[in-house]
Amino acid sequence: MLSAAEFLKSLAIVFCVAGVTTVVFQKLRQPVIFGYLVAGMIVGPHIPIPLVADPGIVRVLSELGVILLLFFLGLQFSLRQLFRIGPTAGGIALFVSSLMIWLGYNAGRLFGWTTLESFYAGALLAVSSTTIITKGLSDLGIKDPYTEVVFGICIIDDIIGIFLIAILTTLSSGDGISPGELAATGGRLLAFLAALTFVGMLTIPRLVRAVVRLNRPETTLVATVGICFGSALLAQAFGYSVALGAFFAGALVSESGVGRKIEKIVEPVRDIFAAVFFVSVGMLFEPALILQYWPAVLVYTLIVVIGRFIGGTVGSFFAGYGIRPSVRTGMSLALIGEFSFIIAALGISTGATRDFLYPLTVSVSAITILLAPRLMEWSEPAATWIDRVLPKPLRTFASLYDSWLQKMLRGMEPAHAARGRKRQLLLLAFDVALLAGTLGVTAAWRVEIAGWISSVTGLSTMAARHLLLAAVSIVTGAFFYAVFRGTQRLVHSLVEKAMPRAAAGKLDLAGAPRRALTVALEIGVLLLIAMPLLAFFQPFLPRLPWAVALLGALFLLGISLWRRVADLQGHVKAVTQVIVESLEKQVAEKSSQVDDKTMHRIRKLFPGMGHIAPFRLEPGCYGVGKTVRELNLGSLTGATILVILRGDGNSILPTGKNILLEGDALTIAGTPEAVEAAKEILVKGPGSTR
Amino acid sequence: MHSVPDFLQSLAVVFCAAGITTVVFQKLKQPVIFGYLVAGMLVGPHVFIPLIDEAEVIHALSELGVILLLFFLGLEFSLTKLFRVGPTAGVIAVVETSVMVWLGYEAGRLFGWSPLESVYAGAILAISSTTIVVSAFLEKGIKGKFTEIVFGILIFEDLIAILLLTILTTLSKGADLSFGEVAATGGRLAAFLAALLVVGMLTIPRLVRAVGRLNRPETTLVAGVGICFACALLARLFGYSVALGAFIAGALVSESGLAKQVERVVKPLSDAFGAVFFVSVGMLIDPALVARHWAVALSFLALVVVGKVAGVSLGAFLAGNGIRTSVQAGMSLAQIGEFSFIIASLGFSSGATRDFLYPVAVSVSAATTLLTPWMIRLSGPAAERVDRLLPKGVHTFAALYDSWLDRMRRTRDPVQACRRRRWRYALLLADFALMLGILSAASAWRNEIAAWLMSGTGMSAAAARYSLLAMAVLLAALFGYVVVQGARRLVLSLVSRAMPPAAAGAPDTAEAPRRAMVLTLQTGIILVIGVPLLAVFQPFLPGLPSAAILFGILLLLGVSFWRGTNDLQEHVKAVSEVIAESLASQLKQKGAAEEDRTLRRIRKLYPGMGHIVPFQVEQGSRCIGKTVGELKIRSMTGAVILVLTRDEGNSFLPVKTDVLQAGDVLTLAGPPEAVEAARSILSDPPGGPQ
Repeated sequence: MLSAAEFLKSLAIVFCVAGVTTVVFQKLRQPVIFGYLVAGMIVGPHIPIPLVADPGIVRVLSELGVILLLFFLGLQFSLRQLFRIGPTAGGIALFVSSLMIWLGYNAGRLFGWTTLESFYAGALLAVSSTTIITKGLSDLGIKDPYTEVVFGICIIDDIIGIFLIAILTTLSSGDGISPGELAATGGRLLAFLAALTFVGMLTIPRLVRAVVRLNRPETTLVATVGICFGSALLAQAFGYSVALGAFFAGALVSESGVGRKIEKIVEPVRDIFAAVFFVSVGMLFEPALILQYWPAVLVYTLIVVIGRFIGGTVGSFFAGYGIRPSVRTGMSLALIGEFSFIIAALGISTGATRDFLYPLTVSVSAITILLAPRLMEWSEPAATWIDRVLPKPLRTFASLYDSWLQKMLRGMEPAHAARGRKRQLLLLAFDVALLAGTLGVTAAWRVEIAGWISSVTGLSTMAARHLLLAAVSIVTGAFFYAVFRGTQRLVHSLVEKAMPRAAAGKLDLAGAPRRALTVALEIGVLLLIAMPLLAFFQPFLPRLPWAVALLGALFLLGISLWRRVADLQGHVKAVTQVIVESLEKQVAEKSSQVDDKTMHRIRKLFPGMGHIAPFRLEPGCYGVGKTVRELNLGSLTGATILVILRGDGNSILPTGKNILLEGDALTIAGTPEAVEAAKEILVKGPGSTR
Repeated sequence: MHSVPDFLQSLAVVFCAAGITTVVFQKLKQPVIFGYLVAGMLVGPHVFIPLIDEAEVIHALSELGVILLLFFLGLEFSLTKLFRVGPTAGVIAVVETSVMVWLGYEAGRLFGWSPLESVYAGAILAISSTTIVVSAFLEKGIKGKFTEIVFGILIFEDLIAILLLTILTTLSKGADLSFGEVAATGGRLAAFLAALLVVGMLTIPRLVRAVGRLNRPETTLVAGVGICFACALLARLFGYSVALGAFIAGALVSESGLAKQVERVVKPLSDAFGAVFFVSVGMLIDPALVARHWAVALSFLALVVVGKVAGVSLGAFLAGNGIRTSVQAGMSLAQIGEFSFIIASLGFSSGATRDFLYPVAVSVSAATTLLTPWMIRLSGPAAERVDRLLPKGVHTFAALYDSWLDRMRRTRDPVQACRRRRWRYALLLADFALMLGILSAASAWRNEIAAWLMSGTGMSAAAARYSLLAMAVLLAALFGYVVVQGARRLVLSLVSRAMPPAAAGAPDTAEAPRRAMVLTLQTGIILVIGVPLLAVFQPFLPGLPSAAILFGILLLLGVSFWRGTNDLQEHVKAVSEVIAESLASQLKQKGAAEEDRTLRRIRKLYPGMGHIVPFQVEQGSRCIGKTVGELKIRSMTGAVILVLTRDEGNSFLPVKTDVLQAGDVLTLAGPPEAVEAARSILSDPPGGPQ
């Protein structure tokens, strides 16, 4: 019975302990959420401290916390913002999440868990925690361009989390999943979401605006909380997670354009019940269970930290953020949080997973949450270190890659080329859909099809299955090849936009850069397409051949990338020589001043060299007397110094040890922003960019 | 245990209903709290849309609402504020709440309820609703002198409510009240409060400041709520109401000086769960039950409206706030709210009252809530009307009374007089305590003493009880007389401070005013002492005699007050004539330059006439051609026009219909601020041609 006295007692214990731990952890400069988890362990039934809150009551209240938390995430989410941060963050987030699902699933299978359990384990790792990341970054006072990417990824992560929850609810709803049923539930989910979005879009933003116009914080609060709970209840009535409903409610309310105002009012309410939620999560932490499953905890923690780090870094690198921001992005994303708790709780409540998965999640999350601020802090030195360790060709490639991508995205083109590209994109999407369809059909009806084959041909079941597998492999292989070719065609046309081919018969000066860019883009697109497919159809398909095929393709591409990059390095050297010579000629002929017209000519001649700009070191500049390595321009800004033109007319191709002197004219290459930032550092020193 | 979906569903229904009603009522410009009550009634089990059968869940959550609401009230309460609004508001609050308790009790007895039930009825009617009044003022944008007084009274009422709540908890605990037990529980309560306050004062403000320094709203919030719940739980463990604990927690937190910061984060929380609380209150309204007890509901409604208006107006008037302000303050406070719900639910849950009292209290509160905005809006015109209806004698008295009190407060005493006065206070207190002791001893041990009398003298039981009663009445009357005398002496000494007696032989020109003031102050003190005594000891004493004694005394005082004001009126007339004459002769002889000295002389001669200032009506002034009645100087400002001096040297006492002319000199009297206000009105009358 939920008696008022018992209720009050539990609540009071929770708040008191949470109050103490939050203050203590704030003082220790640790994440507050970790403090809540510890508070949960203290008041939980598994740790022998005589402060026990009734788990049932706290569970009930934590549900409130989930709803408000997701509502708030929904509030922060907005379609407009989504379009602004655009497809880049989406691509990165999709890639990282898929990678994590794949890794988590395989690890689960290796531990001998069931398919569904392993899939849950993968989903647990897939989504990072917006709450913790935003808090961590603002705690450390980090304001850098890369944080915007991180926030963008978090927003997409939230959506992925919502969809994972929806999919998992569907998957776990029946004991035996028949394909028809699966399709029906999926269809119902889509219909529900479409109806909710449609009706909500028509009514809720208007309603919220009218309420806000009354200018009563209390009324606004109660009305929005009413909308939130109404939507959550609706979702539950249709058999979906309350989280889904609450998130949609938040997103709809934020479409009213007064989301900021509402956020401010709802925030304290969310804070309190989010605290209850995290405490309730901590209460389920069972040390004995953790001891029993310590290898799993260890493995999953490593997967989260290393996998998310590598995934985030590689993803953002291919999206064109440069080595340093990519490394920092990857390190910021290496944790799991509230969505994992929700997914794990879903697994337990639907009976899809055994009860060890929840404490496992809690402990992995607790460890990663505790590590997260460290990782964010260390991301800068780590980025510097990685930058230094990478081979030189790769660095050169990195600094030029950004400028190519920018040029590619910025360059306008004739209408017919755009139409052609749209056609290519459409074809590619079609191929991907066919691939996914084949995989889906086989995955869903594999038993039936095998049965049909054996009945028609009279083969044994075993042989029929092998036959089916072979057929599928051939068909998917064909489609995969088609996808690969489509990607290549698309990439080629894109690359030509950035670095147009020379007219026939002329020397193609952009050959090496073009080839390098092509390979890099191919890898990126392939990863983006293959990884989600792999993650989702994984449970239904034989594991090994697929992974081998993918890894093989990636390996080949990687080797070719390496060779292209090495070529590029040679090309850059050659080009630099040419630039030096022409500059020297310039100086000898006219004056020591590097001429704008010369630069322009050089830029046109070598489109693969990025933005090339001259810079003269005036007396009193920060850079005077420093070695090139000390300045560390490459890792700080992404720009490189191509040539140093000394005051006496000598030009040098700089190595790390060259010391810059007064009156040196430097030629810097990179994206326009990177070049600007590099100039800034040369004048004022590195502190000024922060 | 309730299952999560049930809980969620109930909560969602509550929030949705509250959300809709708050918007609707806000749009209709009606009090939102009324909306919540209606919402509760609709979703509750008693009306035709029984959406919620899980009333218990909501009840548990409304407990949360009570705690947060009281915590918030405690935050707004602070000792410094208490000292600022000072003893005036305290006196008013004590008088009017005592009147209400007494009235409620008597009404309950008349309906034939048990004494305890009647006490509950009295307590339910005693406390106005801070929430409702504040939101009504905010909504209408009302500001003015009376709002300050209203807020002061509300602060004291909160304090009184907390005391009532504790006393009632104690009273309802034992089935039979033995005196020793009551004393023991009282002592325990005092010890508990003292311990909580001392320990809390030493630790909590410091703690809160430390937390505030971390500058994290979330941490502040969780820590604050933690403290609140800890105190509430502590109070509950010791058998007191959670409201008490939460209120004290709020007050302690606000002592840290960070109240504003904490308030800001706690406000949304208390708003949201306050809504749940009010909805849950509404859910308990059973219209059938209310309909069956309609007579009770109606008479309580009348009691609240009439009693509160009369009590507050009278108290405020005696405290020297002028007629208009007093009436406005009285009309603003004519409602009951959250504390009534808390008290009523306490009575119900402890089994002290039957089931009808709660719904009746709620419906009375709902009705008064609806009335409040109207009452506040009408308070201005009503005050004017009251002002017009009062006889002239009372008017003059009112105008002068304020100025006397003002002067009394401002004059400094010689040390000796001060010491003597302190001694008188002590004597009065001792008398009062003795009377209290006799009353409580007689009431507590009445059966024992009667038995002892019986066994000692061999009287019959009835005779023994009567003789006991007679003795008690005699003793109480004796001490009552002593108290009255003491009050008189004290008042005399206070009054002589404002209007020092003339030297022997000289004519005492302050005779009439002094007498009027003494009478008024005496009435005030007797009210302050007698009414609370009556309210508290009512249940133990024969109802009629003590009330009769009090009323007798008040009647006598009233009659002599009436005569005093008549005398005063005559006196003022006479004085005005003297002033008029002297001003006229002044005007004839020397002109305006000498006016100041004359005025000073007059002021000294007639200390009972307040601050006397002349005002010359300039040529072209906008008040030319208006009658004295039209200008409404008295009701707007509290100052009176004593004399009107025409240019030819004629002076006369103005009546309402006199028309002002250019060159008239008006002599104004009243407290300095009132005279200033009157002058500004005269030089720029409202409503004049622009």
